Amino acid sequence: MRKTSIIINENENFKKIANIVSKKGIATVCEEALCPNIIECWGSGTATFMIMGNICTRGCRFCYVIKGKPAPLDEDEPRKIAEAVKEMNLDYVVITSVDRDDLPDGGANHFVKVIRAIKEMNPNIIVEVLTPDFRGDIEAVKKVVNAGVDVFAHNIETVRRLTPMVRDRRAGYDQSLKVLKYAGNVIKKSSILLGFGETWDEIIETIHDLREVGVDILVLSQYMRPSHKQLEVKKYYTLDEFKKLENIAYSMGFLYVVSLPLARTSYKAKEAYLEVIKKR
Amino acid sequence: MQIEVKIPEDIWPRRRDWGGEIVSVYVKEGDSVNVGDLIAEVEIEKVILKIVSQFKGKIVKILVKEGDKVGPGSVIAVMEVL
Repeated sequence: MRKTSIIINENENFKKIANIVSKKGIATVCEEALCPNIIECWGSGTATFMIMGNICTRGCRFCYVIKGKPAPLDEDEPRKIAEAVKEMNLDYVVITSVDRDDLPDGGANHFVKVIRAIKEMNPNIIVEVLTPDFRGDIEAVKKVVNAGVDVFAHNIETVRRLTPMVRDRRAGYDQSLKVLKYAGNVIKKSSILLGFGETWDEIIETIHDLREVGVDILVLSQYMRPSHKQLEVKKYYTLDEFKKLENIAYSMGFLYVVSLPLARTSYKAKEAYLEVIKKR
Repeated sequence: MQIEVKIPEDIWPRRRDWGGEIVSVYVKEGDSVNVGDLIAEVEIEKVILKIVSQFKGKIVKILVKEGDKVGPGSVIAVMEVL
């Protein structure tokens, strides 16, 4: 498989979302990560919000998000996000963030405020969060989960051996597993990006490790280099290989698996949630 | 009315620091195009962008060729909107 193409056709929904996020001055990971699904997702009226600014304290070598010293938290952000959710008329929202190692709690309290504000202004909303590892601080993880999230996602990103090369030195394979394990009984999700040079057996081992800590939803997708500053793509996986991995994951007991080159953690998130609810 | 056919600047509205090169131009001067017809393909590091016509009209001028470096907002053609 080679590089994917996307048709650039910005419909009215796309323009509406662009207008809302720009007017409120809020960030989306769709933009900050140059997500190839932006035309499809915004075009169908949904977006994934990125809170706590657009500057990340970590330097993962696959990621396009700007690295550096973040600005202080915007205390008005919870309200802005809650209003955007309402204006976009969403019934399912995904909230992610940059890493904030500069904050004592890694930003857990801010996550809580955002989740509560969304739920207060949008009583029937389903909230999925995709969080940092909070440096392995289990209390921070529990605080976020207990704020009322419906799906807790944290990405392992790659296999154990490649973690030090692919992710920031402050991240860790076991630390991410711990975060997922202690997130408790909420629906849990994690993603693995493929194409960094991992072996087939290493992928299987990672899928297995995620299931062992109770992950329900697995996302497998192709790493695509955002610019020449990030890691090279070592391998493009075929659709057949994605399908084989999907079958293996289901055989290990995952409740929902999204295994596609262009899948990203929040891609078709609502569909995955609804399926898991039925199976649980 | 004549308009410029551009690579949209706002595919990722907050990020305009990407660029790439023209890999194919699918129309030539004098061609009639409909809404949705493929005009050109631009390869950036992450994906290939297929630029399609937003209008029905006739291509008046092509301003790029394969291999040209382009970015958000680059003009690739001029068309007469019908």
